[in-house]
Amino acid sequence: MRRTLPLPLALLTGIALHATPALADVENDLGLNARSAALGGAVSATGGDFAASAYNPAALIVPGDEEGLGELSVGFVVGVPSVWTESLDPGRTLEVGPPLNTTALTLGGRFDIGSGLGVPGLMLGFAFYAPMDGLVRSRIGPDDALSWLQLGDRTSHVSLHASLAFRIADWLSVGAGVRITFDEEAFITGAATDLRRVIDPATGEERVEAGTRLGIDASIYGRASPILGLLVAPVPELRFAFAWRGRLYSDDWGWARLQGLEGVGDIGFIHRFTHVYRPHELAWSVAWRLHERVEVSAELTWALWSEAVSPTWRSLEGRFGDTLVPAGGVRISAHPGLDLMVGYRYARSPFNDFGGPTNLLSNDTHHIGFGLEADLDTLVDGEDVPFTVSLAGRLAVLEDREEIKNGRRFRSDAALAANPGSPGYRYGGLVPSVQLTVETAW
Amino acid sequence: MVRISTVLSLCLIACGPSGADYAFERPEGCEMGCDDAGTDAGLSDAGPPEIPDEPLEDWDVAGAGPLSGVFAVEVTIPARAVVEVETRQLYRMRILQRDETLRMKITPCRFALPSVPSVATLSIPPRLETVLRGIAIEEEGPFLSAPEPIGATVTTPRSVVLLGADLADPEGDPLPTTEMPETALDQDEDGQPGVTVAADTVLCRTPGELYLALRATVEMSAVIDDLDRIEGGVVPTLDQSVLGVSDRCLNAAASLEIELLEGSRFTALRAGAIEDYDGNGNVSCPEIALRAVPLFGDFWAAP
Repeated sequence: MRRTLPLPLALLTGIALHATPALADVENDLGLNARSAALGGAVSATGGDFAASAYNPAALIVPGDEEGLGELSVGFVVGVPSVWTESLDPGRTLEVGPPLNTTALTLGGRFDIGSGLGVPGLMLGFAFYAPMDGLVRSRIGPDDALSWLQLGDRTSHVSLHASLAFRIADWLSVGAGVRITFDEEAFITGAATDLRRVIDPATGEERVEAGTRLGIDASIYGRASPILGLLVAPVPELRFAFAWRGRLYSDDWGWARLQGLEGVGDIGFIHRFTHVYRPHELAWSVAWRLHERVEVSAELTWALWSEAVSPTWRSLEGRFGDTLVPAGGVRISAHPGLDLMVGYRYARSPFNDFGGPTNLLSNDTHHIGFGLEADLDTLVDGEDVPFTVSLAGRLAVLEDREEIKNGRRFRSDAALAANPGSPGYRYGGLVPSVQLTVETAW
Repeated sequence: MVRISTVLSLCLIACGPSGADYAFERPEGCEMGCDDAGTDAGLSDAGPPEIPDEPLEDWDVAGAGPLSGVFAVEVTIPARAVVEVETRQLYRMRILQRDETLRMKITPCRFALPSVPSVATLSIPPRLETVLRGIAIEEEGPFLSAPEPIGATVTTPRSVVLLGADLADPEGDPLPTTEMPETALDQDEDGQPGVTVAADTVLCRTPGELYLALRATVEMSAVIDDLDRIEGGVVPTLDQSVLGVSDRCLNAAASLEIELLEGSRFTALRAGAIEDYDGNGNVSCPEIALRAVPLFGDFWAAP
């Protein structure tokens, strides 16, 4: 195959990716199932479902679980961001791509494998999250291009959780697991067949055209991120949890290389990006059944964002900072077999451009969750309907934020004027999502 | 109480980015921009140019012919470095005419080295330009074919510009190489062999340096039909030897082989009061470089 390409940019276009980066994850932004979505993610101590594989593996097994328990769950989630941006210069239009919508399926389960293995109290859990518009979809852009830092492709990467929990005593269980994300490697190699100078008929600019034969080799590898947890239940109505969720990200790297240029040799570049970045997280959580019909939960998560890298793998010293994320949830049994849930989570933005050249849009965010859960076996008299249906909605409110460029952050006035975000901008929005989960147990 | 204080302590250190480690590029007062141009300064925003005071050569001009004066000369040399490229050179040429005899002084002002656009760009840093301007070829002889310039043929003495080398025969001896660096000369006195040329290539993340010995010769001839604008052909040579690189990523750029092609030409424009920026009666090399764009076009615009 012979292709004619502008020499340096031909290699860039080989990657053929564009626009908005993303640093965040499914668990915090959407909730791994309807229950965790509705409770604002304050579920590390409540546990008792497959989502504990991700939030706190120790909570895969909770007081009251019967011997030989098995659960399977399937869920569907839709998220449709609605955001806005406006330049502080009324005459300027900002170029910022819209965040991606989310449609995904989640499969999960937990199984008392200890009964079969002769190790009472050993529970296996798993969760599989699969975006429906492609298992891995990445968007890439330079850090100074206006782009939504945490609303891009964060929910467009397949992920797999697998965890084990072990109940040491009735009041104490421990757990360990992994979340597996997927790294991408792409190697583009071109063999030069000829080089020539041409005048672009459209722009009148002179450029070099290279005849090439291109070969593309792409691979995907798994990357495991550990999760450790502890669950303490001094009394059946009260549980304390502690979890550490290891840093995770998708490492996207490779090269584009043009070989055999007469008099030059090989030219090209190596690229490296990161997607779905989530920092190390330490979570403390408590769940308390105040009344036989009311359970409340609260959680505090320390996210070590100060160690984060940008989507182009730069540390951006001083612009990322650790955050403390509070969350809380209430679950009320309104009727036998019918529970109502509400939750709230406040995530401060881990990133600030501070008037500098980067333009990564990131808001302080209020997550408001609500939902209901119907145990059909209890609700339907006289019939054996072993299913629980949960429906949850979550509204992420992105607080309005303003970024004003500071000339001191730029090397020259020309660089300040040329920045895509100059002289500044405002941005905010809403991210509504809906999640439906059907669960069966035996 | 202990729990509340713990949470407050955590908040203090975990409430988002602080910017404490994010250093400023420019001092206070630049929040809305600065009068100074910062480190990206180009020719247009670096303030008024400083022109060293260089008086006109103290020549006896009594009885000088109409061709006498200072000319800004652009030499254009087509070449091949993987693809066809162009190298251009700016000279100051002073002529004192008495009949067929011309006293000529030729000084190189700026050299644009052969570059492959978007792949490898070589440029001469200010330190080397200063060295260039210290070179001058001065000769007197029958360089005009007739006493009356219009219609006559002018031929310039062969101008040899040798940089980064100290050769007994500047025109004939081989340039130093990495294997035989004995004749290399640190002419720009930067501690590196030869002269230092800035190199920006696609293989390097940041611009680097090539250490070169370089020899360029030009011999111009033209039939004069305008006393203020002379255009003609050039017989050039260009020879360079790479004595070192600042980074291995420049090896590809260092291996660029340059072949001069047919069709070299020159344009000499009489420099007058407009070019005499400092008004001292002389148009010096810095003044020709300053006026290169209006005289010879955008090729000489700052990148």
